[in-house]
Amino acid sequence: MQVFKLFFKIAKTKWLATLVFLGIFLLILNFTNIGGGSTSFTTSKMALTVYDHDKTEASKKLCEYLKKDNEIVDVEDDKDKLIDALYITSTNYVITINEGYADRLAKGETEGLFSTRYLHDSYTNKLADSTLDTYVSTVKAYMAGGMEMSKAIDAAEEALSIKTEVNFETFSDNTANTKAASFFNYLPYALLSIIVSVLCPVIVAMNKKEVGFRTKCSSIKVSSISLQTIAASGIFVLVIWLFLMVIGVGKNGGMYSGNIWYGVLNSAAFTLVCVAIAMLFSELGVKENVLAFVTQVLGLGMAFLCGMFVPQEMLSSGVLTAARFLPAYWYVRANDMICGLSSDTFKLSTVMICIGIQVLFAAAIFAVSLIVKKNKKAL
Amino acid sequence: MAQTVVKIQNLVKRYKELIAVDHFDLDIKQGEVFGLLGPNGSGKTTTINCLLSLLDFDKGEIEIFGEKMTPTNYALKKRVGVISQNVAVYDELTVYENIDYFCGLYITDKETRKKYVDEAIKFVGLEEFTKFRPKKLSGGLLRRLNIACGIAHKPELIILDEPTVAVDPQSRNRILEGILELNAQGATIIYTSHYMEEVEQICSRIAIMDKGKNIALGTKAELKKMIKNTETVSIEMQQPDDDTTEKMSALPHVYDVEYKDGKLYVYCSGGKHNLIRILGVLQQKDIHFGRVYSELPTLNDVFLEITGKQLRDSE
Repeated sequence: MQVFKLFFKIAKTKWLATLVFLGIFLLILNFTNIGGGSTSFTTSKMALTVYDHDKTEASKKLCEYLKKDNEIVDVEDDKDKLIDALYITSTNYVITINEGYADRLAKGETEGLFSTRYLHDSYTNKLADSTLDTYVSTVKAYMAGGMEMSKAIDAAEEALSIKTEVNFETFSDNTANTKAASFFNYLPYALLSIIVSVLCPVIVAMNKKEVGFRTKCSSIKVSSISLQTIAASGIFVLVIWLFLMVIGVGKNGGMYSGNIWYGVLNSAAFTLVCVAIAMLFSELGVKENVLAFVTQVLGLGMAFLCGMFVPQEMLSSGVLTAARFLPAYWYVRANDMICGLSSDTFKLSTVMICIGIQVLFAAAIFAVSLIVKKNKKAL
Repeated sequence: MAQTVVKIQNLVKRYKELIAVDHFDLDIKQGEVFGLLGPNGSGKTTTINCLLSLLDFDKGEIEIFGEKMTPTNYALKKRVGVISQNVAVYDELTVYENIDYFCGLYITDKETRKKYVDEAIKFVGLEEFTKFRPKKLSGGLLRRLNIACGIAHKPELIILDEPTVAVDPQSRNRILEGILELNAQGATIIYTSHYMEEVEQICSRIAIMDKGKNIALGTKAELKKMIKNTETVSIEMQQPDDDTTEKMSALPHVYDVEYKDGKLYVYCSGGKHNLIRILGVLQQKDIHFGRVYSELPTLNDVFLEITGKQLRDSE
């Protein structure tokens, strides 16, 4: 068991890398929560300042209407003080109901009803403009239908008080799924970073040419060396994967139920891909300082291109076409379906195809690493 | 008669068109410190790799302790220790862990291994550095660790492939003393080097290799007898006139005279009083001279005379 023990002795020296990537993963999990946030919608309130220079019943009704859905901020009617209030955003929009507002409204005029002040490039001015336009045009519509102005105002207010119910669209009503979604979505980054940045340098150190020479001269069988290395690597990867699965339970409490077990299977397939990548890098003899850079480029690149950080449904078709050539795309696709983050309904056959493709990716990468190994031997 | 430990017969190893080892024969007896001397690229390391079954060879037979050496003859491998020219240790392990690991590749019993590891550490004098990682060790200490890893399992045959490359003189002497101590403890040693001084210092028998061939084999004395030169007298002096050079050349046993780099070199073959006769010529002609050296031939002279080139020049 000398080689087996050696693996873990060398792996022990890489504990810092494991901790760093675990920490990053936990931080990402804490600061993001796909589908796990609020599912209800509340209308945002604008901070409005209203000056009524008309002081008629119609203008008062407008003031009351604006008060219903917005926060009214009192600011002294002074130009400098208004500019200051807008600058420090204590108010978003200033409406002055001009004198003669009621008369103009009664005549069906729309010009000169209000004077407004606002900060440019603010979304609130568009919203406030739209609110006033809608109010005036609704009143005008009722008046055009033959109503008196006061009745038209009441009817318009009633009509505008009808609220549209807004909810966030989710593809799953299963709370466990939404909890698991963010965990499984960011998991490939942690798996890839930890497995590649630990497994690869350990294998490189164990296969160092000079030490390999000494080992070959020894009385230990070559097959025994290979078996012990494979066993140690397998146990290491299994422990890392299981540990991450336990973190999933710890973070999201009892999330493993129903379809989520396919998510576990999906992550196991991606773990194989990570092992194959680590084997390839170790056969290529990637140095440890270069490895950290390459791992991050690969991990973050796949995360952005394949829909870990940005949902696949929001990625352009060009990006998605390119992403199909990366294993993480198939992982995310399966995961989205398992966790209900995709508009597609759950289909076991599709999930299994995605998992199968990942296994094929792992096999292909592993085959390339064997070719590299063979070529190295021939040199 | 001592048992034959290594027997190489008619060994040929080719790398495409290049013949790295060319019909090489060798017979090493138990208890010998056998030197394999030759310039870089002469085929020493290739021969060693064939001997250890790390390389396939095209022709010939290799036997160690009377058994055919094959990549799977693990029982035989157990009796052999190898110390390569490159330091072959794990940077991630401490000195103790490194020796324990490599010893563990041969010795499975924990207690025996611990005893052997402790003895190896003591042998190379690394007691104070057992918890150090290799990167914290100086070049000399690293070489000692390299040796400890190769000998910890107490092999009967130890192969040292240029173990003193890039080692300071103090560490080199300690390594050479250690090799002689291992030999005194009963191990047969094969020592390859292109440093003739080292080979002269420790080896009881020497084979000189060039272009994959064994060009000379014997004890130091036997090798030196193979060549014409038995003594070189060098004298610090001004360039002599033609008459002096002629008189020198006419002396008995002198076969060549040359002046270079401010010194007159007089090469002798045989004879007992060459120096007195040479100085007599200078006295007779009233020529002033500085320091005088009388040097016996070295293995480099042997190599030079046999191959026509210097050992170092051909590196």
